[in-house]
Amino acid sequence: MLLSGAAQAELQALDDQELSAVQGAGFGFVLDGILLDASGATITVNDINNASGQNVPISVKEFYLGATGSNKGANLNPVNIGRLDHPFEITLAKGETLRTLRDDGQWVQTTPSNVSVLEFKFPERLTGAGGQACISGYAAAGSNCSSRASERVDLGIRFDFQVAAGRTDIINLDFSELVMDGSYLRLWGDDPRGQLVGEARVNLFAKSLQLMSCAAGTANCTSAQEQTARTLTLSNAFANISLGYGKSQPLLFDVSSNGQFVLELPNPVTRAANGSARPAAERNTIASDFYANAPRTNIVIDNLKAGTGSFSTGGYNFGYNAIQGLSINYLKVTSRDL
Amino acid sequence: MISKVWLAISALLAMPAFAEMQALDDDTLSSMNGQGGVYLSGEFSINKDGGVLWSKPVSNNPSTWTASQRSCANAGATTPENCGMRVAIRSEADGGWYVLDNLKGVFSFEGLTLRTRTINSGFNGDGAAFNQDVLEFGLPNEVKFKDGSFAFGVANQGGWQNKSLSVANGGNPSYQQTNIFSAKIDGTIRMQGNVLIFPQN
Repeated sequence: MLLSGAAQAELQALDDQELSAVQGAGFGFVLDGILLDASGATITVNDINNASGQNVPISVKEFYLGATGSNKGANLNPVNIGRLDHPFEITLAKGETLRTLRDDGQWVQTTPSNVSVLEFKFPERLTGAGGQACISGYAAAGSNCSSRASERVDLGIRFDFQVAAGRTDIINLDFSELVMDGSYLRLWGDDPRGQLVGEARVNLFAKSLQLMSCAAGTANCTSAQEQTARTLTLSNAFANISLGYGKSQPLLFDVSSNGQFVLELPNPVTRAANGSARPAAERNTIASDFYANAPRTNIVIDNLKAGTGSFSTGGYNFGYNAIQGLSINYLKVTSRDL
Repeated sequence: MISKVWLAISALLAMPAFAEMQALDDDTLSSMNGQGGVYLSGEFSINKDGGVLWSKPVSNNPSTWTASQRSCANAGATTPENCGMRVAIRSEADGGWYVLDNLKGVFSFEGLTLRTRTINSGFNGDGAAFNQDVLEFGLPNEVKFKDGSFAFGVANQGGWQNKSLSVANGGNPSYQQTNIFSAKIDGTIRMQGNVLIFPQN
């Protein structure tokens, strides 16, 4: 009986058809009933110094993540993030199989061919059927998110900067109905450069983002009116931040040999990865491809207001603010010791 | 008397026969569902009292340290502190290093679970179509940190060297490390929910 039982569990060879359907070594994950609340912990960020080299400790407070409708973290409930059919993913894929959603709704290849790319991605965006409004009630943010209304989060964090003895400056951030579908980080090795390169896309869609400059419950920051007067409110705000276009302008993460941090987006056309000059025809081909396909950066705020938004009560309404279709031709950020 | 003893002994001998392992037939086996899982609770402490590479000096001033001493207190602090673990990664053939430094502290958790779970319903309608097994990490409801810390920085050497000491004294004046930021964590963080992990094509 035991022997016959074993025979039923025998390993079966996969035929070619079954084998060919298997590809991409990766796994997906979703967060089921997640709630995070760090209000009971003391978190301090150090090593950020002022002009005279003194440490300015930053206390992290009111850090929470929960379901929407939390009223700035006061009423936290668990939330599902990611869907079983559109989960977070960590995969190792070939450059030619990865796609990026261009602003006109086309999926294009941005990573070079013949490289293995390690990708960490947020739930994918959906074009066509099943797409969800990225910001509810605001069509301009698009309707190609995969996360539904119940899979959005409220997220908040407060930073207390202890600038000097007796003086603490505060930034209190509260996102409501935040979703980050379509964000990713892709990393691979660039052979001619001999270093790790990548491309990143950060998509943030929020029904609102409030920045308050005081700690709730302290002097002049207790009543709703006092709090509003010290708040900058961004409503229906989204950002698609694109760093790098793998084919011709990979994002270079680097530490220089003298120990300084360098973040660089090289000029896509002038030099090849190994530093040699390129002929004009090749430069033209690369430039046309770059302008046609490199993902752009957009930052759109449907309404930005300071305080109440009304001049008569000391506020101001800045209305609609946007940066759209921004393409970075060259960027180099380096740290320096002061 | 003797017969009673024999009876008892023979009963003992006979007992194991009742407890003998029986092979399960296929029907019974196929009706078994994975009931396994692990419930973990415990404490994880890393370099709480400093690592083995450096001992704690008396002062926080690097120029007074010996070759085997290092303090990881903030610059300008009056009292020295033990140093935690250091991990350095280089992403360019001839470049500098990313450093995760001074990683130390106590991390305790009660009720971290690990099990498999079949999902074939729920999830706002996604579960039925999914119909698959997943690996479920159940987060503990509370995670406690005690003196947890880490620093993130960049350096021109993987290993730490004291730039305030001459090479003859075991230091390296050309060593350069810039900490971008460091963090300290103390207290309780509430973390609830499950992380569901599954293969993805």
